Amino acid sequence: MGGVRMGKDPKTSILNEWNQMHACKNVFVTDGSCMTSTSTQNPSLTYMALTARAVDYAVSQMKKGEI
Amino acid sequence: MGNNTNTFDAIVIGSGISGGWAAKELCEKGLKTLVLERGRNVVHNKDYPTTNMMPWEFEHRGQIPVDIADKNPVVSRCYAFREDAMHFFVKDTEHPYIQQKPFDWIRGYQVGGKSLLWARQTQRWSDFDFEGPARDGFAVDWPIRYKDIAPWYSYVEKFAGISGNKDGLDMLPDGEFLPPIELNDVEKYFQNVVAKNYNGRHVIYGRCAHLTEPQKTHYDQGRVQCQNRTLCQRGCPFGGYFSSNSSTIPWALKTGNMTLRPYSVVQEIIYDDKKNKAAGVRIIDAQTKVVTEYFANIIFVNAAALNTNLLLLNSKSNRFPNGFGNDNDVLGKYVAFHNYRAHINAKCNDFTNVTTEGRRPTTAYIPRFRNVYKQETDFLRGYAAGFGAYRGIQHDTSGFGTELKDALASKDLGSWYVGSHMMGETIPKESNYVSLDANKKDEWEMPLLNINVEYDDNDEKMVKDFQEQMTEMYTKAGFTDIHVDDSKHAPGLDIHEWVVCVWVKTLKHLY
Repeated sequence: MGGVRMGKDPKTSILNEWNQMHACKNVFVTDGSCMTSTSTQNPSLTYMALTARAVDYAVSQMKKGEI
Repeated sequence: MGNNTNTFDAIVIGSGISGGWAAKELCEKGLKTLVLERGRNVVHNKDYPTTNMMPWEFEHRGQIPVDIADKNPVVSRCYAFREDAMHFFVKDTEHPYIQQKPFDWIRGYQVGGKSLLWARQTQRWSDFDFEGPARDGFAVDWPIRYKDIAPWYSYVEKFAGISGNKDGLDMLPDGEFLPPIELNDVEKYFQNVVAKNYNGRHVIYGRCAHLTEPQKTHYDQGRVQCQNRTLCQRGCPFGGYFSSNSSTIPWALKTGNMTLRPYSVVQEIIYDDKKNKAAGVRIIDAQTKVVTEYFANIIFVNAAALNTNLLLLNSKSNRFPNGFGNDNDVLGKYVAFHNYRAHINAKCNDFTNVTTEGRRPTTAYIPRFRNVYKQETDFLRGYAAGFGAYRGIQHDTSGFGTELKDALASKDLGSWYVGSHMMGETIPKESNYVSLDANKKDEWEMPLLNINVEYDDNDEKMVKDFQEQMTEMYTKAGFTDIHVDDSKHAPGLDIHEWVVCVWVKTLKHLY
């Protein structure tokens, strides 16, 4: 997991809170590489939830003309 | 830019657990979506060649032939790599990578990816997890909290079908559960012992993506109740567990908005300097080696953790000379994993008047109890554990002829055995990273991935603590013949092995 981590600060992370690239707004990463930390749980359910959440955001941004 | 046939509203790279969800959601929202998968197509049911085979129908009776195991030491270490499912695993020889430090990289290159092979255990995170890095001062703060993701957990749980029990625990929030999979008497006994002796330690029903009581939304997907075959890794003809193949991919296809292109190795995400955004992707056909470009307004990258790193590192442009989105040199770094090294097995001399019959796809689960509310050990974070009890039929195989046949036919029950394995959090560090090899490429012109990931002192302390704490808990339960084990296996390997490994090890140690 990790390597393309989420975070608040573009200086120290690759993705924002919507799994959207800080530096390129129409690219989203929602597999295990986005994980800032791993905790102890099996991670797949969290990937599913982050993905559905990110698609919802991406499409709403597209409709607003932001992407 | 591209012609019409190569232009879509969205592109999804990868069709595993997360790619399948991206495809479903994008297609349902009306976007014409291209799903690129580097491996072959695996159509639900049609492409599960071993799913209904009997043990004696396998040429090697389920075992991996020695020549294949010898040539593929990494994948052979995965518990699910057996004759019935080996066609769903990447062989070491087919897709090499460079282990700067030992790393068992387990991959599934086909439509559905590793969603056919996963251990199907599904637990929500809590704020103890999302707040971990900020509280304990490692990595960076998560930009989300539980409240941000909770409704989305509910959303995916209802569609995927998650069985579990509402336990009301702070550290493991309840979900939208189908009925739980029953624990046996010894597991319930241990649950009570732990509850009586410890504050904050819990033994609960495993939570897993199996349909114990399918709802309309599952029937609509063509899925029915889990039959407890526990042959999941072959692909399930009942759709009894969640996979992309049985669920999200056919759902996306049904919208009429999905174009699925197997054999598509994505080499690069293309950056458009004029529009300041990604234009699309360049792929090479895995079979014909023909290179094609596809374009879209939205790109979802779901190639699986390390391959996503590889793809982004390889996507270089004037804007991103060090890899796509990598303005800060963070890309490829802070890789972490789960520490599965420690196991503990023992004998339970009680409950000789009861046994179980049949199979089930999960066992008990022990949520993290170390350092939850405050720091209490000399290591950071903690571990969860699987726990299961099992009573097997013991056969005396020492005789010959009639004596042996009679012994094999007997149903004499042996003792109960219990087993547990840790699932430890590891701390993401800059020094655990992946990078592109400067010289070596594969036959699809992709640089080989260098993997540089190792355990640290925190992990060693955690292994020891799991062994000590579980030994104490087993002792309080009166279990005997306690055997702790540290496999010391390399990082990776975690397609989230479950209790199967405990049985294999239990049998190895005790029979």
